[in-house]
Amino acid sequence: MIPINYFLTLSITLFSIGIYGALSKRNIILVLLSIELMLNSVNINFIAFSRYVTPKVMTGQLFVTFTMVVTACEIGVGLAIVLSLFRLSGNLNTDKYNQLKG
Amino acid sequence: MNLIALGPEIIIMTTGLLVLVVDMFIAENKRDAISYVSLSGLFLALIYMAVFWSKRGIVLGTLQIDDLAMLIRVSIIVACIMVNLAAIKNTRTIQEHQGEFFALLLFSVCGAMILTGARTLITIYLGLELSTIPMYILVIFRKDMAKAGEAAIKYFLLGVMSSIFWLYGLTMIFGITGQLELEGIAKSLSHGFPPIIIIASLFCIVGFGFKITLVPFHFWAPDTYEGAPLVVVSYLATVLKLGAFVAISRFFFVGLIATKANWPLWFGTLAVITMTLGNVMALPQNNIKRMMAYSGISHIGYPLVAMAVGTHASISAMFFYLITYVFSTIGVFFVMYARSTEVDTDDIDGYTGLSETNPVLAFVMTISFLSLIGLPPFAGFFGKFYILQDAVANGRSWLAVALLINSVISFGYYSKVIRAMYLSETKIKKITGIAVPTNIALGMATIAIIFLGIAQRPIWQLSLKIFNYLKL
Repeated sequence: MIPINYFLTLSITLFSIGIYGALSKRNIILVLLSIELMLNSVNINFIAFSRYVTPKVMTGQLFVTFTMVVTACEIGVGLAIVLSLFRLSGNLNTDKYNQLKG
Repeated sequence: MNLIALGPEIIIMTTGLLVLVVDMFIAENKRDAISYVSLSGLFLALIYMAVFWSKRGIVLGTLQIDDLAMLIRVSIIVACIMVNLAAIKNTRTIQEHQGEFFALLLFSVCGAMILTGARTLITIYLGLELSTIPMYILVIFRKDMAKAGEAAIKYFLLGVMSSIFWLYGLTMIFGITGQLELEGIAKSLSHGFPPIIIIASLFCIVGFGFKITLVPFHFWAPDTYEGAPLVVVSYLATVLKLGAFVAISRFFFVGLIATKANWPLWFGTLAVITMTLGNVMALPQNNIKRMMAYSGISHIGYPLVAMAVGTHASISAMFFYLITYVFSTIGVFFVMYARSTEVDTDDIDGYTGLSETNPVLAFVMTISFLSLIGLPPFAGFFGKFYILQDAVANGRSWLAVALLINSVISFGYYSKVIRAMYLSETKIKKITGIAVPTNIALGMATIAIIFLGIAQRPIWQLSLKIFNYLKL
């Protein structure tokens, strides 16, 4: 059996790449992609722990099915928001959204 | 199967679906009826709760319906009835999309109500998402306004990131304990725990912190409030924070009670930063929506003081305070909404001489502000008083002092608006009548603020029973 550390290392790497992408990218689509990466790191963590900590019951896998469904909804809503923003302002650069401040 | 206790959620969810169906078949000139369908659903849920008040217990292993859940569910429904009333005939925001608006509002309420009883991590997650995903859409309900789009994208990105942080914390807790039920987690952590649990709890605080606008995770709030429609903001700033706060208290008091020794440091520090920064940032604001956003941030700091103290009495004080906060803030937002139909500005200048042109609005605004400042005999005073009393009694005087100083600072920016309303000459002579439903909502908010102040005993007695089955 592959040691659990491999999975956890993969997951924390994905999470870090995701955070870096979400904070540094200027294109909203890329930010959404980075967020998906972070979410998948969570899923990997859950499944790995479920396999090693509670091998008899599938609670971790169960949670992951929920997170996947909910994220699909979330990203659907997010893309709809991005689409209507793009129709309104014609760009996807987060730096250009700076009307609200103070 | 104890589904009777789950009735209010079922009623509200069904009404939400019904609203969508009615929306498809109703004639074009009778679309206002949709808002009354959703309103009657909320009233039905309230009556149902009154009839089956004593039905408690664990539903399907996922929801714990206890005194806390009942108290907060009633507050959420009452607050949402007010929001629904204010939204009736609000053609500026809703245009002809009544069906979508009220359905999304009801789904979000259902999520917030699920949060109040959630006793497993999956239920908390689903409740949080069900209450926020409709709000992402409601914030951008006016698709033609660039400000609303910017507000929505900021709210959306930070909301999603925060749930991921929270989930990452959960994976660590799950990895250590192998449990998804809060009570199971508490049991397996009760005999000592590895330090990774501390890191996991900090991840969870970050995730929750975004939802309830803790400093330093607050920066979406002013932008979102400024760009979103006022009816949506009045819901966003009150009901959602209330629901998330119940989830936090269950998460920490039931699940992670083993880490309690660290709470004065974590929550105490966060409370002081949140109160102070919120109040200081609110002082120079000229836009009243941004001012209320920062005021809302600072008001989340006060219940955290109670969280840091962490006794039975302080939990009761915390929820009593949050209920008073909900109704006081909703009062302010409704006045702002009613005023926005007369004057097309969000600046404090728009309120000059309001006492001459519309004394009722000025009066409601003033008592809401006095309640938020915490002056007797209004609701906010007793909330703050109970929190203070408990902090001092348990030797956390430094938190009590910080709370008092911040109440005084908050007087600065509230009085700016009150001064504009009463002491300045009016520039705007135009008076348009306020719609009847909005007037009823304003009246309900006023009654709630005064009732929770003068006759607060029954509610306080009820909140004293919160978590009385837990050993703290």
